[in-house]
Amino acid sequence: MSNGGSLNRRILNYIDELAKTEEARKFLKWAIGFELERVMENNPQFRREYERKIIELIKKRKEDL
Amino acid sequence: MWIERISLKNYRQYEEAEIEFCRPTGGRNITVILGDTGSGKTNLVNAITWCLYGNEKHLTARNKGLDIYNTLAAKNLKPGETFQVQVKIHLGESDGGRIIVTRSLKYKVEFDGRVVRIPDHLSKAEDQSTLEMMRMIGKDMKEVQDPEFIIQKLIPEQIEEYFFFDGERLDEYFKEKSGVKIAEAVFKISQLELIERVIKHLKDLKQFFVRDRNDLSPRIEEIRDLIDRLTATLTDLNDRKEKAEAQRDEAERLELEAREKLREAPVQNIGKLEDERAELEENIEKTRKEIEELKNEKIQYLCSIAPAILASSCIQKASKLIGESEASGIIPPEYQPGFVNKLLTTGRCICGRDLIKGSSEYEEVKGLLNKSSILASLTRILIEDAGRLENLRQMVQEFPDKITRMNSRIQNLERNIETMEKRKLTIDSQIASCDSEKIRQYENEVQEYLKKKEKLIEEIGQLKQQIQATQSKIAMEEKELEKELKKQTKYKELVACLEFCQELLDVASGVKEKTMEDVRKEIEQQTKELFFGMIWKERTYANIEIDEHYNVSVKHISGNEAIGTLSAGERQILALAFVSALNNVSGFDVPIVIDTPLGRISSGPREKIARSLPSCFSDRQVILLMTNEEYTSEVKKVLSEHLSKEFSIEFTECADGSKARVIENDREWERKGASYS
Amino acid sequence: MIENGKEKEPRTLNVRKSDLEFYHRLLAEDSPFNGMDNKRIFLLAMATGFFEEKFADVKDMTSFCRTETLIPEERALIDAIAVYKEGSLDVLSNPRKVFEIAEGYASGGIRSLYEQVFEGEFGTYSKRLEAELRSIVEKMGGGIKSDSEEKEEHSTRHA
Repeated sequence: MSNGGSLNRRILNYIDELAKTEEARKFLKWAIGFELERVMENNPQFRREYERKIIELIKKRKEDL
Repeated sequence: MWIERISLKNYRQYEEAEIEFCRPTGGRNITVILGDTGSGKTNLVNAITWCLYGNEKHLTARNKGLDIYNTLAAKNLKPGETFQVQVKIHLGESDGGRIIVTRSLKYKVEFDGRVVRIPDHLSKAEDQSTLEMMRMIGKDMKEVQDPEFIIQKLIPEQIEEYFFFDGERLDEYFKEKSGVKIAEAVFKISQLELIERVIKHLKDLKQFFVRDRNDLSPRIEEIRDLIDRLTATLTDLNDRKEKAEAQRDEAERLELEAREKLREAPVQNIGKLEDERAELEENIEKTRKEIEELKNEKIQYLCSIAPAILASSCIQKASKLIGESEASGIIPPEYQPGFVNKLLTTGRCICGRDLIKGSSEYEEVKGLLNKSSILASLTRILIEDAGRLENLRQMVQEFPDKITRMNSRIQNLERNIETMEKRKLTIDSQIASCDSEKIRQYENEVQEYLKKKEKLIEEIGQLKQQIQATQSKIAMEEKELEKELKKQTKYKELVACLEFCQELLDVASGVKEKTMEDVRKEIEQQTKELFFGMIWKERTYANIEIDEHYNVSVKHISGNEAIGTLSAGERQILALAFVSALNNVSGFDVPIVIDTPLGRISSGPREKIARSLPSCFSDRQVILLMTNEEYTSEVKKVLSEHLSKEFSIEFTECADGSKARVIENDREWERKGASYS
Repeated sequence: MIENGKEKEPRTLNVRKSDLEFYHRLLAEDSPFNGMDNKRIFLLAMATGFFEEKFADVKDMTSFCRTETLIPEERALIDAIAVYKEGSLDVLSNPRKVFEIAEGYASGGIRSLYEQVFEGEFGTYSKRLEAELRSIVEKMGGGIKSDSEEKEEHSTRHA
């Protein structure tokens, strides 16, 4: 289904262009998908998911270094 | 995607109705549904939005307050019996898929004759109606678990107004505060709400990271608490601003309603006076904007000339020194560096003496080379600077007259406003002193809502400034916090998280900005192309622009701004072009439903706009809900080659309620060819 | 004005990191300078610093605007300020020094500029600036006197 696809793709393309690190790119693409799912709308549980993802990516960055 | 069928049961005036549409192919993408005013055209749009979102987005004053069920349906039922209001939409997808969306609401007739709703307690809709969806998966139709989510992906509720809209309200895009309305449209169509949510969550998360630590130093805790307090203040300010904006919009709506009543009052001249007053207000507003622009121009000028004036003593001194250097022959240098260098390389002076490296003569000539090199390059700079400093001197000289002229222009405009406001006050008192009590009442209402609106606008301005200041303070404190955290290694991980969050915020903000800008440009380009494709006055308008503040401008070939002078027909074309551009840029493949597309248009341009409609939405299903007055023979003629089906709403009213049904027209007129009636 | 010798023209005009907040605030939405570019604010800060004789040390700097965006008149003004401070035209052979002097005055003037804009109501800054500039020009007798005009005035006074 391509509905709205072209615009979501635009946002994803800009994330690729503007993110200077792989971790930032990965997180933001994940976050857009997350928000699209509307799973955590108005729900404090977004915090747990965001935190988990951030810590996972920071750890990976340290390991890569 | 297109609508294959709409089935209505006991929905408002539709006791039972079914409309079958054709797939838009071969250029036949238009369906016309005809109906008199009040027959149920708008309720067909309401049926669509109710089915998809649980919300009737286009209720008229007549229908507000009336429950959604058809009264005739309940009439024939015995106490204890139930009935259902239901709207079902069959959708066809371009890949051959099918979706059936059904929304229903149960009612029961009580023993005392009252009709009560039986809510669905699991429903997510405000009216607790039930939403069900079947979707073709493979070859089978299967029930969908989360229909709201699918609908959000197919036709997000936030942008439905750009697909299902009232043709008579298109104008609103280009009235006052058009920039705000258009920015809102661009924001919604770009789905930037997603990025905004990411940004908000990241900002909240940054605070949580710090708040949850209980090993912070007192200084860090102090900063953290301050940030928390400022954030709470910011939230409060934003809430108050939102509330004030809603109240302002409501006051404006009520003011317009009262004005409309005045305009339509059957008292001599009141209508004319009200029209004159409305025109004065528009002109006052325009003049105020012009003054604002001139003031901006003035501040720009002041800022560009200020450095030259403040540093005028430098200009004078530097000019003097350059003049003296020229006069005393220091510049240009007596000897060209190239010439002197040649003497050194050939090893012979002009006097004939040998110049041996290391000798005192050689060193003297070398010194001369260094000096002349410096002077030569300086010469170029000084001569260029002399000319530019002279320009600056002239600019400073012109300053008093130029600023006086700017001030005069502003003052003239302010005097114009004064004159217009005096006339407006005269009209205000003429209307207020009218004999009719009703007129006086409407006039009081207009004044009351105007005052309220102005007060709210002022309050909103102040709140915006406070919000800006609070945001700056928060940003400063966050920097301070980071600085303090970096001082200790035990906060290393916390600092890493905060820095990462900031990195993400910076990228997300950049994405938001670039996407808005991209979409704005695309919409501008498409609006321009479509408008010029439709407008009949090809040589009158030169360009259409949507600036970075989302204000739309239509440039006349003379270079003047023409948006304020567009006729109703031209504005409708502009609005159609704009909405069409929004549709195309959105990437959503959704049918278009337009209620009363030609209602406000006089007969002349009507045909031209009707001719343009198919090209605006060339590959989509377009459903037009029109009155017979709009669907003239000329309009019928131009739409006929794109027409896929034509229906009429048959409406009957009786003592117990009203009933409407939708009948397909046989289009004998089309078969017969020449005569259209 | 690119030297063909040792001194290369700096690419950017710099400001103190600690002053960035003032600049951002001066370019914010509620400021009369909203919409203007960094260069404009820098030049205004520089001129304010010069006028109020406030010169600050240039350390812990960060780039703020590109020198290539300077129009010739603006460049000439920066040169003139450097010449005034050093008392000689020789400074122009050292573009780095010229820009450092501009940066020094900007660093000295930014705080004062910030205070002038944000103390009191927003709407009156434009009027205050206009009044101040008018008064300066009037004191100069209507404009900056050229060399010949000054000499003529001098001889008239002493005739």
